[in-house]
Amino acid sequence: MRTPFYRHFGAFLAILAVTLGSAMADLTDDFTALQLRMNDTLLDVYAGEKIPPENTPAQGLKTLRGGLASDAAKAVIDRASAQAERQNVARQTGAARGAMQHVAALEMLRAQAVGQAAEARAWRACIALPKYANAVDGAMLLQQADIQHVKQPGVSRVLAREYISWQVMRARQLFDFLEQGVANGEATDAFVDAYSAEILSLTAFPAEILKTADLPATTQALPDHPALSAPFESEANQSALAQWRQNVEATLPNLLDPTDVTRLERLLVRFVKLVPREYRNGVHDGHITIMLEYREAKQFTEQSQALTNELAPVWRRDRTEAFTAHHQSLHEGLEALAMRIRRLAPPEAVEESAKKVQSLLEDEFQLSARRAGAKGDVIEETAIEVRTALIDSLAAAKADQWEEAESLRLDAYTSFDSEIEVRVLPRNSELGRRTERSFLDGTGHEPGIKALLDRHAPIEELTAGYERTLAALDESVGLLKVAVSPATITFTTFSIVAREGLEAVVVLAALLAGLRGAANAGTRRWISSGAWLALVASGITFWLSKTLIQSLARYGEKLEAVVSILAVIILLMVTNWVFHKFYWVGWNAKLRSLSKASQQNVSTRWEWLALLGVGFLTVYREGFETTLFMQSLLLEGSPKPVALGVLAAGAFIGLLGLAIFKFGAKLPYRKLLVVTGVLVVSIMVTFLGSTVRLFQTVGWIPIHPIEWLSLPAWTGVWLGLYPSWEGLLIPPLALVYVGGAWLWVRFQSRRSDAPAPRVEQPEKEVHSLAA
Amino acid sequence: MKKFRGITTLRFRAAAALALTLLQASSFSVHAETTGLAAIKSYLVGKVTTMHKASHDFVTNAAAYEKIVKASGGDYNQAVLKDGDELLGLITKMQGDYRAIHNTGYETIEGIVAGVKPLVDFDTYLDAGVPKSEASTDSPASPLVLKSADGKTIVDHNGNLFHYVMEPALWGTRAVYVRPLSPEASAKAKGIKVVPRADVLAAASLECARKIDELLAASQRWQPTLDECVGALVWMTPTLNGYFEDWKDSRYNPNAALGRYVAESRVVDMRGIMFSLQLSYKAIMPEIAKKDAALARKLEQDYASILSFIDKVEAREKRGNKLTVQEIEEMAYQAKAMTDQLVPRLKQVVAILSLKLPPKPILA
Repeated sequence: MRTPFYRHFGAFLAILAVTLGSAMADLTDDFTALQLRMNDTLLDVYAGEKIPPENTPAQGLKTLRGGLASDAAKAVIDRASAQAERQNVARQTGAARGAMQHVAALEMLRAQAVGQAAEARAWRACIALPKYANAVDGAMLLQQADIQHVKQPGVSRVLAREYISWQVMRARQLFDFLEQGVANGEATDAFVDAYSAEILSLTAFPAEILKTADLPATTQALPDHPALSAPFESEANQSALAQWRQNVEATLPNLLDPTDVTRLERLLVRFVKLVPREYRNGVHDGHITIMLEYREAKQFTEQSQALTNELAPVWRRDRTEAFTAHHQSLHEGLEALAMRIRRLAPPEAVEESAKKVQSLLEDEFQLSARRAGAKGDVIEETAIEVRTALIDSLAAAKADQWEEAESLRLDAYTSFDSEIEVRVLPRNSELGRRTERSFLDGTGHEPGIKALLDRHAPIEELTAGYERTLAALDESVGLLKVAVSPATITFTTFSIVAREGLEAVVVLAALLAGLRGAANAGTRRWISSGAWLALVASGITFWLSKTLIQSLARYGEKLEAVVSILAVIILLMVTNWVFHKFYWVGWNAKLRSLSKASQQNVSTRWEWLALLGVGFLTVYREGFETTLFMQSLLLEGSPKPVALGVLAAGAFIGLLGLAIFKFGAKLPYRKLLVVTGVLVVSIMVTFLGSTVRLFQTVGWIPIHPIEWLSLPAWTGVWLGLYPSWEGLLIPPLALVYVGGAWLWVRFQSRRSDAPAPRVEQPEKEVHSLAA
Repeated sequence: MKKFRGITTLRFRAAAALALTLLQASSFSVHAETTGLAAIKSYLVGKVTTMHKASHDFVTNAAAYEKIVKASGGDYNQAVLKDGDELLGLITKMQGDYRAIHNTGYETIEGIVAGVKPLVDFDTYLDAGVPKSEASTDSPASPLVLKSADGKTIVDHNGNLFHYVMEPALWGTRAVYVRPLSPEASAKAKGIKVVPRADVLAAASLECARKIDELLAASQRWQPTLDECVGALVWMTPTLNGYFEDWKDSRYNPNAALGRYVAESRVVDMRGIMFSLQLSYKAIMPEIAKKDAALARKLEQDYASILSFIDKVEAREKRGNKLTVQEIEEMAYQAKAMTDQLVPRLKQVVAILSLKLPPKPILA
């Protein structure tokens, strides 16, 4: 019996996959082996050995070329090979070492762009890293399970910029090594040739990489090799080398635009200011008392040093006088600060060092921590604020200052929620919700910070909880380095507006359900006016939050909680109105009298205000929450995707609302009441659940998580269900209230032996009702 | 140089690739018990057991040495003149004991001991602790307080046991731990000018054995975790730079290390710590390979390159021709560049595996 074709084909595919994977591993192995061989070649040159032609770097590059997939990478090798013919072995080696970095980067970007994540990772692993390199962001982006996400141009941009920043750092380290060798009298012709060639090759970034990184092509030509001669340690040689370095540095890509420069300068000043405060919180009498605080002080110092290095080229160009006069002092000041922290010096000594650095930054470099002008990229600054608040919160908890700890936790959460969470959600909703929950109740066996603070948990548990949140915060900040696509922004906007709008439409439908007919036109008008007013108020709130009241977002949660509880009260009244014929009668009687009075232009102030307020609060609750989301989504980029999402959602809600009202108009009256009643009850429970969550978020009620219960994220979003005792027990109390009130009414009416009140039908509807 | 092999025959390469994959898979499953975290612990306990034996041999030899000196009324010249051969023989044995305890012992496990919180205090006590006056968070003060049998203080928070007491005493590089010999005694001792103080060796040997007993018990109790082992790699890998600097300085100035590192070439020390780091890495490599095979492979290559680099250094040193200044500088620079890359790669591992990087053990 012949073996089926599909079995042959399947085996072929399996073999092909293994073979190709193996071929990839071979190529990168060869690449690594060539890099190591070049290191040996340089040592042999220094030892005075002759290098056979077949072992020259140029020959090695040619052999590598055959396996490459990227045309741009092949072009790099062709250029290096052409130049090699005019170079001695030392220069060939240096130039080849630099060229190989570009080859690896180009192969990585090619593979990533076509979704070959494994190949992209393999090439990325071949790229040489400088000391203190941050290589996590790109690694995580290439780990994404969805290939469509991996292929995004945003990922290419991050990888390209990451690569350029690494090689710029490496070039500076090579500069330092070259200068040091020359100054110490250890340089030879071969040494100068090799390292100057490597620097020139490395800093000649291929146009394709610059383009992918959204950087302009280099307009300045690279200088030639430095013209040095023995004795290399002479003053003249050192000056010539310093000048050569400046000329090369001037051609380096500027990864910082003016906004970035301002932002980093602000961050630098803030970091230096925060160091003594964190240190004082974490170190007493030469001992570390709170490790988190000590580590923050150390980290902020290291980050200050890194920022100073990153800004140096910009300062050299734009603040030349200050740079020339004070850069060395700044560098030494930061080093002294770091040393004092390492030696666990008294806080006063650390403060003194920090103040010296601060004074240099503010007085000599004219830097300020204050935000100037329009709102820029606030992610990193917000992350610092959140981190600082969390660390301070933990310190307060350790000192048994639980209220202070909770207040600081809330500060941290508010900043996170308003600036970071809303940006994370469209990209990775699981991460956004997980991080949010780590501030509150947590998940499973990992309680959140609020839950821990509420029960005054032991310090080990508290520390673990805070560290989880800090780790999730870092993950969120890393994710935000990739821009979100306009389509995603539009979809997110649509989802948010549609969801919030739908809730308002259903409540309004329930309110207006019993108000049919001309007799109730005035009433309907007041309620509708309230609703329209709320739409306008939402728009004004949005405008205010973007202009005059930028810090509104900080109080967003508390304001939302207030608005939310008012809306819940209205819903309770509405629910009673649907279920209690007594109330219904009474309400209707009121409404009818109100309606007649309105026709006669006689109405009490509180009555029309109450109706206005009903319509207003129903819609404004949703509008306010939507405003908070919108202003953060707008910061992602162009307002067009947001506007498109709002328009689409508006049209959707409009059509749906029309359908609901039209459908409702055709329903028999009682059926309409039942349908809207069920909808209102379910929305009421959802509202109440969300309100309880809000109250817990702002710390007005405690949170007691149910550790054994795990609910998917959508139950919170759509049903207001969260796995805490308060979140599950309080919402059903509303049903108890409604049911209890109905029973009370029944009891009262039976006691009085009064006939059951008839349901009054609007006159017009009597004729249209089916039996 | 290894040349790039083109795909010459599809069938051959496919078969070879399949065979390789199957072989690797079978080797992982067959050696499951000896790979992974268990392998790290097994290695550690094995090495400490050897150190334990050597430390007790040291106690025996130090006691015998002291007995000879006491038999001469504490007069070292008399002891040498009377029992010089035996005395010198014991010194040679004790130097061998020290090599077994330190160079082929502790240095081959330092990467593990100093890198994990449950064991780091032993590193401070035995190998890394500095005098109190020099202490910082990167270099903690040694808690060692050593007293002789008659209660006199030999050392009080003034450095670790190996490099501030035992080594200087056994090799005579610190005057306070030795006794000078008269010309006659020196002649009898084949030109040796100083001999170690017996009371110092006796106290140091007992303390060394006691501490290594504790280390053995702690090693047996220790249950390594993935977080800890990756953390050890992150914190310990950069220390190699210090070894390369020491090696570089020793080429220019043999006295640069103030006599602390004369026992063996620093190359042996580098190999020892590098080996323990490489072993730790290989144990956790399968976990990394599940998420990022290329990164796992690159790290393996990096560690292997550093180890082979150390062999290259030794080979070049033994070639006969004196190393040029440029060769020394270049080798140190290349070594540092290789180790500098490991930490960012390891931090990628932490992120990819969602591990929690423990704080630096001496700070925790």
